[in-house]
Amino acid sequence: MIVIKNGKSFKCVFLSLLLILLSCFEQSVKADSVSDSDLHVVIVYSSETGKVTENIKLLDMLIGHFSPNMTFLPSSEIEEADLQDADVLFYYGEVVEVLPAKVGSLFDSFTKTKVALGYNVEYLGDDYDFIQFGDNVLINELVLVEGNKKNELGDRLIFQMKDLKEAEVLVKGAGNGKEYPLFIKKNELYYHASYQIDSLFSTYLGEVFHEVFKADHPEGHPAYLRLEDIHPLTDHTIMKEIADIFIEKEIPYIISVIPIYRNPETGDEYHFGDFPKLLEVLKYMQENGGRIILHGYTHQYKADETGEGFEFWDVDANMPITVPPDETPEKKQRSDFQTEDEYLAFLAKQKAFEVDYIKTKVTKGIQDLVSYGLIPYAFEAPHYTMSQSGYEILSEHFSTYIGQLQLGDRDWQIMAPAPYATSPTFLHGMNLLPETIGYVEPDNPHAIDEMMKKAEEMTVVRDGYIAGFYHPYLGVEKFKELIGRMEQIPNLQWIDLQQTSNVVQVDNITVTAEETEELSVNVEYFELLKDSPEFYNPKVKSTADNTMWLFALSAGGMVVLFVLYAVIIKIRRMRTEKGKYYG
Amino acid sequence: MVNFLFYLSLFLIWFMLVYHMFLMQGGYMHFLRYQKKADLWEKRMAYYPKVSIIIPAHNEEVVIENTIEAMIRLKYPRKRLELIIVNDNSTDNTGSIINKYARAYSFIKAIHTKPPYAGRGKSGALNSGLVAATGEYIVVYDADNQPEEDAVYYLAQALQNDQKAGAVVGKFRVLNANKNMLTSFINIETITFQWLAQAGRWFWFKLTTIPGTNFAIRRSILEELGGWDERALSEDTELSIRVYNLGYHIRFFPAAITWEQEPETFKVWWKQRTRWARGNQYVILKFLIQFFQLKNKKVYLDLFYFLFTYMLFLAGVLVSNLLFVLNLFMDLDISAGGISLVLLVLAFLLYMTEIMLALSIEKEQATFKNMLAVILMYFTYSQIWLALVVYSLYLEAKRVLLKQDVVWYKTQRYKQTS
Repeated sequence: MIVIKNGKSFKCVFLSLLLILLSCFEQSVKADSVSDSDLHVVIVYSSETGKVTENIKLLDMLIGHFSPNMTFLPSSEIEEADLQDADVLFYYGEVVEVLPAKVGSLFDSFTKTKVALGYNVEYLGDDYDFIQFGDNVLINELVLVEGNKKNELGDRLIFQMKDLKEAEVLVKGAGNGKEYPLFIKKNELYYHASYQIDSLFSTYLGEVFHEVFKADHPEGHPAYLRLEDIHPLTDHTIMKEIADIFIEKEIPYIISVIPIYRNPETGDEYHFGDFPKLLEVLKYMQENGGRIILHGYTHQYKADETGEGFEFWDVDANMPITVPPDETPEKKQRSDFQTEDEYLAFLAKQKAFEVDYIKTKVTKGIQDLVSYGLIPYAFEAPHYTMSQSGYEILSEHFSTYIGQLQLGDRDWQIMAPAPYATSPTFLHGMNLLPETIGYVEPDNPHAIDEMMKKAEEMTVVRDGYIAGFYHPYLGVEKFKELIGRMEQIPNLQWIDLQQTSNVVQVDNITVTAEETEELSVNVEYFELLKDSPEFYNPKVKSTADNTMWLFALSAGGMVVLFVLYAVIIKIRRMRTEKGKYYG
Repeated sequence: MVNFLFYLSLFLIWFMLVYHMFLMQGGYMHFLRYQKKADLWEKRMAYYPKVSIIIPAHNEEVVIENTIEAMIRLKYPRKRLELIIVNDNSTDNTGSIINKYARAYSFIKAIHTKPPYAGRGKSGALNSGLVAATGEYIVVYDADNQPEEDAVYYLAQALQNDQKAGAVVGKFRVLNANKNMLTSFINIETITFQWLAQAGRWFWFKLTTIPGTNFAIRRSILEELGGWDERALSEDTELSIRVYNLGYHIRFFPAAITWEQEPETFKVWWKQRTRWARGNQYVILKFLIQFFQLKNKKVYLDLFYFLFTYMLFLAGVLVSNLLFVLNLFMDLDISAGGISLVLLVLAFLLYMTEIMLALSIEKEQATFKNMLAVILMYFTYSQIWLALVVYSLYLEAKRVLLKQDVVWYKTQRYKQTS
């Protein structure tokens, strides 16, 4: 049940002033964090440039499940003070580096939980001395020791640890019929014998990190299916059939909605109001377990078709969007500028454009949906592409992000999910509900099998997400197969965005979903009329159309009546004349 | 923006059409009822009140004789009747014709106005006649009118039986309807106007506009109002509003019938209609300025009606025509689509059925020939009206801006050979 509360349009003057003052400080939209603790985690890293890399972002995502309170420091910058209130200390050696002696002594003096991953563990003080390396070994399988859960992956080299005494092996790598320790534990000391933490490594790390953080999360797999790329031209009959399947199975689900369809040839834009039958189905869906999320505004940039194009990433230049679609972006380095100030000014200009671009799109998208009575709960970027500063902008509007995350501004193709819900620092407070098993690829006959294989992998993690998406244009049959297969996965818990904490906020509209409470949609109608009168377009248009039909109906009725009157007059006159004649 | 304009014009047009449709329904109901009223009043006619007929005549030698003959044929006690013909500064034989009749009939009075008190237009002539009038009721006819024998009787009867009526308006019919296409169009137009606008408004709101001829008004009211407004181009509309302001209503009583001449050439028609349109625009202006002084709130309805007819409806039609034409040359992306086509067809059907119903009410008017004329009218006569209103708006705007004086144009008359 959706309740739309009328915004208090007329506030006292001082209240408005207070609001204006408050709005000067941009705040991110906060909802309850997915993690249940507030442990301070310090992560020291060695990377090629000393900057945060995609892999470090992956680590961020893995740890964010347990605590959002993280500090990332390059090995060259760590100071004693940084560890003062640390609860868990991480070291991640992505590249070979001779660590400063200070790092070793700091690690030595830190007596709580320590986790090391990758290279350079030999510099991490006396505690790690027990680890001795042999030649690297090739593996193609990971094994979770507890429960002997095995999954294959492509050939990977890992470090070979020799003579492990007193250490407990949590994860093993297997290859050529042999097994090698991969993730080990010695008291409060942990080590991952590879600099690789992506794909299946990430999944296995996700499980064993529960032990690192002593997080006794209950077994069970949160799951969702997302109907993808629903725009105004989507076939409403398929949507209705899918909706009824969900209803019959009592499964809540997610609908990724794009408010505008833009025809790439003509440039014409269509709204949901232009397709009332689809709109009706969408409303039916959201009243029956379907939860709408915003999936961009047009899902395109430049001349691309809606659903095909990238919206928040310039895919041609492979960089964030920094110019209007008809202009070519400038890709410049520091070396292109004489002074640092000029370079910073250049970056600031690009960033300013991007901020405005994303804010505008998101605001219009939300306003458009709400104007049709469609209530969004979260955001999913088209093709999961979003610049790092884009996530920060999004965090001012959404508390929940659905899908996978682009891990840096270097290349959009480097993206990943987390194995579980998480709140990494680069989401600035947003919770990620990851999509982990992919989608039904149109031309791949084994697509659903492959999805199920990924789902199987996710069961390694005690609370691993099993979530995928489906394009309704593929038809109802494939969908039935997919959902049927998913239902067979044991211990699945379908998530309902209505039952978790979600906040969506743009100018004059706030949507708040809370467990146990009714959805609240707060609209400042009066302010909207001033700022975004187009919000009222759907209402005005439907009123106008209804009135026109009323005109047509009454006019048609009167035309019939007038003809009837004329005939009556004629008949009466004929009768009286006859009467006269014969009378 | 284009869509907004399109919708707006569509709404302006359709508010008008819906209102007309509603009025026509009322007109039909009034037709069903008024005869019963006439029969009832006939029995109640206690005495014959003194009636003064005023006929302003300015160069009317072609028609005045027929008019006076028709007055002589009126079935109303001669002693209670007075015919005042105001020869308003005529340069032709009008004066002598009038004088001839005045000498022959004691109930006929001739008044001749000379400059500087002459040629001030119809209002001025009527005011001159009013001074000489002794009747309790004043009846006005145009100089080209030939009332039916019982017309004045019905007018007096209605005023006597309806004490709330400040004035009673009869029906006029076209004498020269079969003369040419223009007069047959005017015939159709006047019949529709009277059953739709006059009878319809009377039925629903007890509102009627004095049409300038074939009406009776209490002399006490004219005296209270100080006669006709000599500045007004359409003195009748103006007078109507003032009568309502006094708290009276104006009854439409189709039992009283007069026959009148209509313009036979386009040029004459154009000048006459321009005068009417300008007159009504003057009224809108005059009463919009003193909007809140209007005592009878129903008059707002009429003012709005005029405002709609002469400004908003006009604008609506012009904008939608413009959009239609533009749409032929460029893609305006109007989203209204199918419904607007339905409305277009319905608008035409409404036009046809309303007019045909009005014609049906009159005997021998709902003919096949007239039906063809109605269709033809839609594409010709009705469209010229657009140009006419624009032209008159221009003239009236010029008058207000340049503070020009009002020039009364007298409608040209024709000798009827029947």
